[in-house]
Amino acid sequence: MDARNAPSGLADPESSRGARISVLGGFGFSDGRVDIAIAEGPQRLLAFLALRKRPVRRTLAAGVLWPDVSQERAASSLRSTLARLDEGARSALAVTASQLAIADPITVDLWESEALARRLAGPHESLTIDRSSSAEVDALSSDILPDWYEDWVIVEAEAWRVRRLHALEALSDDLRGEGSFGQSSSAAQAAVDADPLRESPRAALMRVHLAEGNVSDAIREFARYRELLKRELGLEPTPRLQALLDGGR
Amino acid sequence: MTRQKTGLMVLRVWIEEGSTEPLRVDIRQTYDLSRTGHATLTLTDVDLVLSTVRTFLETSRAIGAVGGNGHG
Repeated sequence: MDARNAPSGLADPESSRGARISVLGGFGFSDGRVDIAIAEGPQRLLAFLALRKRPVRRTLAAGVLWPDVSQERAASSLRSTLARLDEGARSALAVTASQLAIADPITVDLWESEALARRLAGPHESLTIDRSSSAEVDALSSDILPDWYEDWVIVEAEAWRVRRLHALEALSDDLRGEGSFGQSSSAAQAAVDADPLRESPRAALMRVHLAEGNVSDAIREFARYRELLKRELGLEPTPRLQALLDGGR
Repeated sequence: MTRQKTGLMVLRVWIEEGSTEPLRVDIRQTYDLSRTGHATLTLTDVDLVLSTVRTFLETSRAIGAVGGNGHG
């Protein structure tokens, strides 16, 4: 994200200029100017610490990252990984004799997106959205490390999916209320994409269409959802969703 | 040393109020975390969910019993 365009609802623009770890949509590491390639072992360590969000005991990190070997062997693998860190990865880590953490000046995209999600989930009169930018929707549109299949990733990814889904619905409602229908629709669509079988994102998307006066789009969205629900679960949408449509005609 | 397989099953549950079958259970499962990919399905019936969990556990045990011949 270009720091000059960072919306106030998201990251501190100053923090966007420094080194940054990305775990949303895939792993990435940047020193603030260019992307830096990180070997697989250090990637896993940095990603684990980024997902934990706080200092972690070395024994815990070793046990989670090398679950199939003895405690001694896992500790040895961790020491070996730390010893072989290249300069970029080393600068991102705060290492003590007993703990590991992401170093203080490093930002993590997930941390910023979670902060945004928390603000959207609660009272947020002070949250200002840059309507010319899709930064907020983008920040809430990606899963955590989608191609990683380790338990410590999958469990966190599932929890994040639910949090971002609620945040996207709240964002869509806010933007619709302010008349920013394009961004509102994008937020609702991202929520639908995150969980196609859930009804509340569909309702959010239909409300945007109806608020814009696009009744036919709302009807189409309802029909798409109805067909999906029938095919996947053999069920009909709730009367509440039908009523939303009826109320808009 | 034979590598020990680790399976994982995650159940995400929500309620669609007003639906004739309000329970939704999104299940994500793999029998071996070291392999890429996982199966996902969504169920609405408690007995079906229990049956799916039972099948997962029994299959995991069976895979272990035959020495871990591949299963994804």
